[in-house]
Amino acid sequence: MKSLLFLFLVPLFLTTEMHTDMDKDTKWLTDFEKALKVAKKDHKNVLVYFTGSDWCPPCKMLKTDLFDSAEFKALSKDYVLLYVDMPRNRDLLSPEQRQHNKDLLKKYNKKGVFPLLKIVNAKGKALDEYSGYSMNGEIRYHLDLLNRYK
Amino acid sequence: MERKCKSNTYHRNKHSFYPVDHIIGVSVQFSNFDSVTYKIDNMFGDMMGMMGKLKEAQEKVEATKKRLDTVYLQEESSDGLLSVSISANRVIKEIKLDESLLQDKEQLEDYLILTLNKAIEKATKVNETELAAVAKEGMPNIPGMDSLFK
Repeated sequence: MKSLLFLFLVPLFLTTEMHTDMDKDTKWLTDFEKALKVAKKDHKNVLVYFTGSDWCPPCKMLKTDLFDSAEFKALSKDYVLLYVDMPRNRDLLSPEQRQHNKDLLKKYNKKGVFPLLKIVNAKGKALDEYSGYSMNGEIRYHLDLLNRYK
Repeated sequence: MERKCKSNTYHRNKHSFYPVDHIIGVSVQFSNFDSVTYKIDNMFGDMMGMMGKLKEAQEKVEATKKRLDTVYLQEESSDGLLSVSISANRVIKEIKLDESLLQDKEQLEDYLILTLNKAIEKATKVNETELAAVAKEGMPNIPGMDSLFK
C-alpha cells in the first residue's frame, strides 16, 4: 500500500517542482496595475499575453514552444510579463480575476483574438502586437516582436 | 567605305555619298533615342520595382492567411450555456454546450444559430481587418488606391 502511495506521490512532487522552476525563470504577473508599476520602476515595457488556456490549441503550443524556450527566457528579462487568461472553465479563475481580464480584453484585445502578444509601455500605451501561432515550432516572428521593444 | 572630298568626309552606302555632318545628325538622333530608351528603361525599372512590391505584398497576404488559421476567437451565448471557438479564417473549431440545452431541441437550434452567426461575424471582421492591413502595407504608392482599403 505504501509503495502504491509512493508511486502516486512521486509524479505529483516532480510536477510541482517543474512548475516552480519555470516560474523562477519567467515570472508572470496577473495584475495589470502592478505590472505597470513594476514596468515604470524598472524602465521596461509590459508583455501582455492573452490566452485561452483550456480551449485554444495554438495558445497551448505557444506555451511549450515559445515560453519554455531559452530565447524567450533571455528576452523576458527585458519585460514585465502579464498573463491574461480567458478560460472556458469558469472555475479556473476567481470572479475578480475574470472581470479584471475581461476589462483588459476590452482595452487591449477588442477583437478578442487568441493567442495575442501585446507590447504595452509603462504608461499603458499599446505599442505593437502579434497574434496567432503556426504550431510548427516557428517562433521567429514572436521573438522579432520582443527584440523590437526590449 | 570612307573617302575625303575637300574638307568634308563622306560615307558611302549603296546609293550615294553622305557628308559626315549628316551622319552626325543621325548619331544625334540616336543619342535622343538613347535617352528615350533610358527613360523607357527607367519606367520599366519602376515597373519592375512595383511588380516586386506587389509580389511581396501577395506573399505577405498568403502568410497572413496561414497565420489567421491559428488565430482563435471565442463566442458565447449570453448565459454561457453554449460556446463556440472559431478561427479567424472562419472555420468552426469547437462547440461546447451545456447538457441542459439537450432537453429542448428548438432552444438548442436557436442558440446555435445566434452564437454561430455572432462567431462568424466576429471572425470575418478580424479576417478583413488583418488582410487589409497587410495588403495596404505592401502596396506600392498608387494614387487613389488608398480608398480601396478604407
